[in-house]
Amino acid sequence: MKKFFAVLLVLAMVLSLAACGGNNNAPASEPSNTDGSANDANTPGDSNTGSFKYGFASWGTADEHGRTLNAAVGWGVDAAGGEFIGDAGGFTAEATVASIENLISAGCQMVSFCTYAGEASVPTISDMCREKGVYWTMWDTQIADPEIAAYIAEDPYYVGCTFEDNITSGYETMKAMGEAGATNVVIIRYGSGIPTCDERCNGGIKYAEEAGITIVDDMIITDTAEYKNAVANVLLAHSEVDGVYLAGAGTASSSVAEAFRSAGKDTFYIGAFDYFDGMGDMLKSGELVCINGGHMVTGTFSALMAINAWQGNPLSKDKIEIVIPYLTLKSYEDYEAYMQYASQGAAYTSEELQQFLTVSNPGLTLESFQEGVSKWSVSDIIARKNG
Amino acid sequence: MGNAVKTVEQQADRSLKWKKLFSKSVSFLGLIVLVAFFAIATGGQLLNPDNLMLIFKQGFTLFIAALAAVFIMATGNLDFSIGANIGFSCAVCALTAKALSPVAGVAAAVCVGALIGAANGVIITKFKMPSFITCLCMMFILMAATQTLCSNEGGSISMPLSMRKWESVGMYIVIGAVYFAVMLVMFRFTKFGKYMKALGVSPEAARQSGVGVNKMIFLGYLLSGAAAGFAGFLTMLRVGGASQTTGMAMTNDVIVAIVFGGMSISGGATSKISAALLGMLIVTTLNNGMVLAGYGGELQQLVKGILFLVVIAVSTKRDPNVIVK
Repeated sequence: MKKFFAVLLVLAMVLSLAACGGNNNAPASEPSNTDGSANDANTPGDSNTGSFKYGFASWGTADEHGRTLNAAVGWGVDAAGGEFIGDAGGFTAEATVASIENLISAGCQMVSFCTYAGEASVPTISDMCREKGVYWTMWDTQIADPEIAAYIAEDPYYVGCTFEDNITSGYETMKAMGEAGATNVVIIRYGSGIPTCDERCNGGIKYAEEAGITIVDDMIITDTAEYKNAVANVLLAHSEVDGVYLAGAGTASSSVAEAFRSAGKDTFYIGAFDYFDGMGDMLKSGELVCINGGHMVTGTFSALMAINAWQGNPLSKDKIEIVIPYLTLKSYEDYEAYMQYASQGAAYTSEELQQFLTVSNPGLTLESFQEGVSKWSVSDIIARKNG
Repeated sequence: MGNAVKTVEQQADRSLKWKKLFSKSVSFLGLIVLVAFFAIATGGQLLNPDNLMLIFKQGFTLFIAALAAVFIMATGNLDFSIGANIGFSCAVCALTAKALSPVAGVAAAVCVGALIGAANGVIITKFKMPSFITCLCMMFILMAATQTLCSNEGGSISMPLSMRKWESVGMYIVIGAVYFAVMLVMFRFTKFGKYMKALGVSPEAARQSGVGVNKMIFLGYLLSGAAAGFAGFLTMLRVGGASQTTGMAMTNDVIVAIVFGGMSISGGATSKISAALLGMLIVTTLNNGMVLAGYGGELQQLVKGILFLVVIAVSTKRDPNVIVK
């Protein structure tokens, strides 16, 4: 009986697959939607109104950054009257591709993802979206490969991307460390050949060179659990080290601090990227001099860009690139403001976000959109909340 | 008195039969329940032909790797280097396809995968290293090698754009059917497959029965490696290239799929090749159905974890005399 059912099930699947037939990956000049599912195929330039589904692919929601990122996309989608669907597929390119496929299959009219697992999957996702007539954006991403950039430039459903100014932020972080007193710094990169990571380090190194800060070591450590041991080893060889610059994985800050304390050092300076639970206490103690994060709005503004395009009001005829500032926390007061207004609640009200949609704000231009985005800072949040 | 004993014995027999039947069918029943649940939860969207094709495509690489991994698991061993092998073969495939030709890329992926499998086999059998340690070390070596290759190319390696036309439903169906048939015959009807199961029951008994234990283990890892290499090529085709994290989740997925499919993690006589197919369908349907039904985020991991625990609990044979360490 079991074998009969197994054969029946396999046959049903094979027949279904055969019915679909043909090559489903060739980009279609005209979008099609043969599945009859919830996502209505868009034609580039068409105006769409009413409710929609917005799909967002990320690695997860367990950490502070992932949690706030998903929540922040929800702010934008809610403000526009849509439904947010998140898929926490994982960190690999395979997972990102599968997430986008599943989100499109779930009926999303727009999708967004990040290339944290590399750019190679971008043309594949572009093909999928073109085939199904789904608008798409990339958050926290700027394509470096010219061949891939040229490929997606031809895609009428690709709206654009948002990314951070990592060089400036890296520069400012090292500057904050230097001003606090750091003179001998170790840089820890979370990977090699990753543009975001490299840019953050380049910015930091630039300031170090200008200010005469010695870079004692520049390490690549992919496993955050190893950060403590690495710093402990460096301190054995170089007792003069008084600062660690974390190009990512801010969550390792506490274990780095522990390595300093274990080595008998009470005064040290840590500068980091990516928020983590417990950063408030470290900012209060002064161990953490500066942390960059709060770039969850990279997802919010990607969503608003896509929604404008879907509603027939693209911000530009060309592909859009929007620079998002980090929310840089340098004190416990900054942290409290972030927690109160951005982490636990929505940093923007729906009315404020609707100003980034042409349907609500007919005077919106690409320049005014970028100008609005550029205001993102702790002081801007406080001013808006108190205003 | 005699009749009463007979009746009790018959009842016990029936109960045992039902228990065995349930234990054997639990994965299949699980798949049926899963499909039914998500078919309802998604308003029939799960069974949409396009979505069924998606499930098949998403699980295809897992299916290829898991089928070969069944041979290793049948011996009571695990190949922890599968995912890293897929990642490295994928990177080599993309680089070779760009530098030489797409066909050379495919050949390079399979050869490199097979070489890695052979290296595992040699280290385990000739140097008497535990398979767990060997594969774990190989995983670290391959991860570092993949990261180096990708770093040199700016973080990820794109495949030639001309290869984008290669992927088609027909290709998946033909490869899947032929590959499954070959593996099924090898596992069920050849000495190789039977010896692998015998090794899972008792390596010593198999050796004393004339089975070339080392040769079989070597061949098992060679097969698993070659399949991982081929899966590397398929991953490249599906994703569009290789990156530093390619294949990283695959080792877990393969083990989870095979166990979901109803095969004991300790291998042995009850090992079955269909576990890979059934497991792939369960894992991929679960992933797809959760998104379609709007269950995002960590709930997916939670459900997978609970289901995995339930399947292990149901399918594992327990000896009441064994001391739990």
